[in-house]
Amino acid sequence: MAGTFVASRSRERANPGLQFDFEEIRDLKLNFTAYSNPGNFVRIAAKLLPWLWASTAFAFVLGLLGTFAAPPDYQQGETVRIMYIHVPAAWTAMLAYTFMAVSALGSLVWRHPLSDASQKAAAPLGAAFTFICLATGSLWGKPMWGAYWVWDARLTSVLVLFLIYLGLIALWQTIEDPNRAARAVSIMTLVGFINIPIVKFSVDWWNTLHQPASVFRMEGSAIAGAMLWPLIVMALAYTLLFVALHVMAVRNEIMRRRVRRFAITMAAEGEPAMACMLPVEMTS
Amino acid sequence: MMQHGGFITATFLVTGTVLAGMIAAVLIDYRVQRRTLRRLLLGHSDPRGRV
Repeated sequence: MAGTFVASRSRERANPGLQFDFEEIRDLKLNFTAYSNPGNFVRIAAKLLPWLWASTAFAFVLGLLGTFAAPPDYQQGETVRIMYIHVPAAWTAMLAYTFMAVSALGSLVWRHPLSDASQKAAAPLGAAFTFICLATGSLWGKPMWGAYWVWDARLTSVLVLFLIYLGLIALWQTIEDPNRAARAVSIMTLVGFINIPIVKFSVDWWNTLHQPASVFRMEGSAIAGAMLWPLIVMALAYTLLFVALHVMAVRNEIMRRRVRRFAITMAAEGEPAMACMLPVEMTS
Repeated sequence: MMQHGGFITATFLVTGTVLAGMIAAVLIDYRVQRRTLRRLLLGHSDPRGRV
């Protein structure tokens, strides 16, 4: 069935680009190489983004309502509300890195054209979520543990994750040629992926001040239902926000590469005005 | 007065600021790239200036 989904008739009239053709997406899903086309990505992104932003906003409103409606913890009292901000940030930080590692694999093994852009776009987002995790964890630690920071295995491994993110962002900036940079960053990303299971299992492998896993456990969640659902909704909101920002950042990266290619072509044709848009090494 | 209210407020402020900054950065980058590309296309190949 040709599934055509329209946001609303008034919106469709205002912006015909909002008309969402599911058949088009399904055809692309069957044809893996179609994703390799940045033009297709930009076109699909323009149609997906309004829905992604609407879902993100809805999830955040619902999650924040749940955060303040949830009962206080019997030990931590109201301070437990920090959990609804801190824990989803930690999950999203690890998700972003996993996303980068998959993109790195796509870049090295399949030379997928969007993989490089995906990796580059995900790094600053992952770093920001890791920073939120560290900052909010610190603000939670002071009233609960009596210290903003301890050199605990979980805290240290998340700090290492943050430093890896910063290193990868720096590596992107260090190498001028995007293809060479992508290759170097891909290798570094895959090497750095070893830290993700360390972050996850650090609380099991070492004696830590940080509490052990209480949601994703073999025995099931240890959190009461009234506190679990706002946490899951907030995690969904963070994930949707990451996906929306990532799609936008990949689109920006595609445009940046078009600008660069265009400037190189123009400079090669003897357009002096274009020289200012080229990297220093190419103009000297 | 909520116990540890200052820490809870600080958590929400820090998170809100970082998330808003992240969204702003991506949107500003989009505008910059789109303007640059449009200027290049307008000046050189596409008289309609479409990206």
